[in-house]
Amino acid sequence: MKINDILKPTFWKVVSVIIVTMGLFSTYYRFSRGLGLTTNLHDSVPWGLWIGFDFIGVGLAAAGFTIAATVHIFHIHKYEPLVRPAILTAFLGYLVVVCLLVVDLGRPENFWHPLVMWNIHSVMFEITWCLICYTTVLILEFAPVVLEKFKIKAPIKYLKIISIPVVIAGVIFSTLHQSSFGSLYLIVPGKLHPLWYSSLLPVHFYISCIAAGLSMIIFESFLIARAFTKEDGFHHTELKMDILSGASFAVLIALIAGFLLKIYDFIGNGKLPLLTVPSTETYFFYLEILIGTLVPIFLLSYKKLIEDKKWIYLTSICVISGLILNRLNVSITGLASSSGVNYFPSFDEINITMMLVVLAIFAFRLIAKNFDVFVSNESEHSVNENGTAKSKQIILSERYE
Amino acid sequence: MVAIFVLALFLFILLVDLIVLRIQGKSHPAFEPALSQYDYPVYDGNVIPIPSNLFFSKGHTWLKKNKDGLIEIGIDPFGTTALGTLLIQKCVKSGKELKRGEVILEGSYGNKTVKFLSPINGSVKSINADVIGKKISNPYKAWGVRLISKDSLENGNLYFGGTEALNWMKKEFIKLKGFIDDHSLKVELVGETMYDGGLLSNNTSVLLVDQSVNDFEKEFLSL
Repeated sequence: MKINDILKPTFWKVVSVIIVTMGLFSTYYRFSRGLGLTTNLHDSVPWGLWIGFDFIGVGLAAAGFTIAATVHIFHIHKYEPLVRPAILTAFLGYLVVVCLLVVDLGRPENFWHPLVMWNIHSVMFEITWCLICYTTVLILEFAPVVLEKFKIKAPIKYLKIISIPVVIAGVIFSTLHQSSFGSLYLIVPGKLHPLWYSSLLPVHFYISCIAAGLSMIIFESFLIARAFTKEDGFHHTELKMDILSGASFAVLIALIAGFLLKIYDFIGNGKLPLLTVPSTETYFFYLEILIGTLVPIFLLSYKKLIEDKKWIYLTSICVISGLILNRLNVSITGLASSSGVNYFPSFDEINITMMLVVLAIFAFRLIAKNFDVFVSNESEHSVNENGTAKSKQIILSERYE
Repeated sequence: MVAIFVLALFLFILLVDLIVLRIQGKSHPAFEPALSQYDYPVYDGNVIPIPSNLFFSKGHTWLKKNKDGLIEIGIDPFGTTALGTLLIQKCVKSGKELKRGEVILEGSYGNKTVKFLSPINGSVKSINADVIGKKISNPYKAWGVRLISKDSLENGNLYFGGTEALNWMKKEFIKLKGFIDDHSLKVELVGETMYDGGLLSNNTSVLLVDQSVNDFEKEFLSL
């Protein structure tokens, strides 16, 4: 891509530059003036938008381990083209989470303390270590892509040897910390609203992240098809409907499992009457369940719709929206009445969050452009043994009986 | 309210993106017409092959690089049949230094003449006199011009290959159906011809209004 192409202004480029510029100013203010002056966080509401976004980011990055496990452990190689984009998404998602955590720390210079000052009885200690270990796993999983680019072949051989243990380690770390985000709230039974509080919260978090992570990859496939055109030199980013339909079916299974678990939780813990109490929390809960669970289950139950890209795309948006609502309901809405404070993020909190999201998207594009993130399991331009072009014809028109 | 705010922001951005795409005259991949519904044969009994070793330009010419370095250029199956049977009338002269975008071949659908533009810069080494004035049965064998060029065919901005070419060609035929619909003298004939499994005819050009060929060149043969 020529420098002129990069500098050529487009609507989203202009918007991105504005967001990043504002975000940089807000970051400067946050570190120069402190959390108290730049955020709406205080002793009653110590966790706000940034923690909510940490949950969202990690939840949506879950495709990294689900797709890697599907392909490398269960040997369902149909999903191979999704592995590298999923791992890159997960890696960037975790980087955003780490950045937000550093910004959110009252004493950010002490971010390294959990590495040497172990508190093995703390859930946050486990989360910190799992985040560090899983980010390392993602680096190891993505390393071959970088090494291939620079033609450094020797380490790739060793990485291939350890690839299965690495993927298994990734699944274990992900399982641990995805559920541990739910475990964090087990210590606030009197504060978190009972519509969300449950001893099964870790399991809820884990199942919902599988559905949302896969939906994120589906959503991202459309973004890739929309943003990376052949003009950019991308040749393998076209939508592969059989893969997306298969992933959508897995989303359906995860959603049903999550919904059944929720029903079990409500009946088992006698929480059904709460659903009839008119309150803000009840309405938010209904909205979360409706958008994030019931509508997607309904849509994905129809074979015709699960094979239609329009509905697959809309369903993925529903599931992602459901995860956004769920994580923010647990981390903010569900705690509002007990804290007695109506928290809304400050301008600087919003700016910094949006800046990090924009930078992650920019990094994804940059890496995808310069490394072989998108690979096809079939090459239309391969040559045969005689060195001549393959005679296989791509037929324009096929009959659909 | 934070949850609603974040969700609303997420959905708002998606909505703005759709509006931006609409203003740019593009479609979001999720809402593009499904190609499968158009995957009936567009010509009676035939399917259109896209050989994997050829490149295609937006001006409906194909390009093939030979082992001797010469590049063969011909009209692709869309160009040879879009508005009826194409007869090539003229080729650029041998020895000419050709610039990308200059007329390389002239042809006619019935009595309507169309110009095909050179997809590449180069020096014309030879022309194929055998294709002039004859019906082209196999577009990939009927090369029109051989030239030598310093330009690369691997430039993804200018040339399509493989699956990309396939998808692009499908979209071109979809576009053509709309084009013929818009430019037809007798809409009811187009209805029978183009929809409900109807096929393109060999003399579509007679159905069209006079201005159609100019519009066809702008829509389908410009680079």
